[in-house]
Amino acid sequence: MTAPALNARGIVVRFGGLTAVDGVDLAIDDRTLVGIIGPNGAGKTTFFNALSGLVTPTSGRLVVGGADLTGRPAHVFARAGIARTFQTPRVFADMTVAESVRFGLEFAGRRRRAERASLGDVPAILGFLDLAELAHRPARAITPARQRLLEIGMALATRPRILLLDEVAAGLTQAEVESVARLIRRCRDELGLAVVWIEHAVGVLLGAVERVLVLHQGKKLVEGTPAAVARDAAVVEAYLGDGAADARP
Amino acid sequence: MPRRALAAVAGGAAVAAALPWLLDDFLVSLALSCLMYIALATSWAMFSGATRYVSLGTSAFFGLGAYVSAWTVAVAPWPVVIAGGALVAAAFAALAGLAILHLRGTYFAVLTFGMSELTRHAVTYGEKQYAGTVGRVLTVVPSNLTVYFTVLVVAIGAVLVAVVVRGSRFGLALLGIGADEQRAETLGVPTRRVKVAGFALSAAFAGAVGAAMAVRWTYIDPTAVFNPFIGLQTVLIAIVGGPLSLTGPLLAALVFSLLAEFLRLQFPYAYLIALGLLLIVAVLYLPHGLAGLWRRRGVEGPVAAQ
Repeated sequence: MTAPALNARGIVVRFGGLTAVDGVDLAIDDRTLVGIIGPNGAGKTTFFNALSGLVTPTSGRLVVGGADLTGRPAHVFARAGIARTFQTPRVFADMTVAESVRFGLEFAGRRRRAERASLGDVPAILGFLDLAELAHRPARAITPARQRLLEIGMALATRPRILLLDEVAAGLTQAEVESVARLIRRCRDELGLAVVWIEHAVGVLLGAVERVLVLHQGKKLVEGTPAAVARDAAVVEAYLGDGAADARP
Repeated sequence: MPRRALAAVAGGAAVAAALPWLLDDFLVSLALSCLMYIALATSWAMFSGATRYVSLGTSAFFGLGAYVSAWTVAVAPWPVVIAGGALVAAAFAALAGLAILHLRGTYFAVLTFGMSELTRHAVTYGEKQYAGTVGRVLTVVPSNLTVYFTVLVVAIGAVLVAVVVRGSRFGLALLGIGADEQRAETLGVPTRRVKVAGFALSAAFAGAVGAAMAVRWTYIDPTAVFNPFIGLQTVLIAIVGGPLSLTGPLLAALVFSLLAEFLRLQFPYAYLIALGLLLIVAVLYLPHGLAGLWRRRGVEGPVAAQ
């Protein structure tokens, strides 16, 4: 068994008196699909900010591909193969779709080998996401759903090993959510990535991932297969409220 | 480098180089003022236009360059004086940048303004304490023609560097920082290093211009060379011209330094009021400055903007 692609040990993030993430462990192996769920304020996004280097954990260690990156700036995490998207799409509004994708290739992606042709250049990445015909449109002029795809494209352009997706399905229609779930699976199957997916649409998430982490008030509540987590009905119901109804496959 | 840009720079430089033989002294000093603002506004826009870190620190870099010149012009060769002004300004910008470049927006603008005032007072204090004087009379100075050509070379340098930066990964990193700094960082841009380097590079030109202009005045004191008006006029020219374009600040520098000279003498208050109004109009209605007016809409992003 090789070392996990990303190993987070005892991550604590404290803002003043508030403990947003409280001692969470997570090991992500290559080519795995992991989901993170939890009610609002459970610390999911803060945990992501720690995993991608945007927030330095108050304590705990982050080991990426064998290298301890705890406390390093976010661009070091990007160069080590951690890519992420944001809850509200943060595309470069004034750049075109193609320029936005080229950005990642020019920076973190430049130092990383494209192990698959699909991440080789801008047309390949746009083709993978089915955005090729929008290549020359300004990023601000495409629909929010497409902006989410573009954000994934910008992240893929860093040629990552692990892709962190923060609520990429929020605000999408059911059909769009299902297509996002298919895309996530293709990121693993065709690009060989590990994907960590935070989502509120618990039902879709449970159907798409292999392992689920439930966060509550900054702590890990349960971790296991989707089936096991869904069976833990009392827990899920207690913490996800209405979402629990959808959560049972 | 785009061939058209290169040809335009060469043409403009040739015209500017011929002016001292074609015009009388007054008009040549106007041309010098134009060149000075071309250098200042172009180098300002290269950093602040791309990153949207609006700096009011130009006066500090200009003044430091001027004082380096005042201290060394009698003892050092002229090119060393200019390079010294550029280096001191760049080093100061790098240090200041490390301290304040994590602040954005108004906070950054206000701090850079404060930095200029601080530098002015520090120089005043130092001069009083160690030189026993506030102003300095420069007696051994190069000819007016030398100063003119020095500022011309610095202006050409600023335009060429701006052109090269636009086409480089460094320039792309600056644009990414302006669009969404955190996003750029997560895509692999070492934002802190890029910002400090860009700020210092931009300051180097202001320092070089200050070093060259100091000898024109023959008498300098902190109030004159750390004049906040120089920094404000630079920002105004770049913003009205179009902070993301190359030709915008360049043409605006021409227009405004001419306007400034004529109107400031005739109607000093009207000129300042007009400047203030123009800045408000530009910020509210012309995010891409006057350059945005003649640029085709929708096709070009800031990267393509000329």
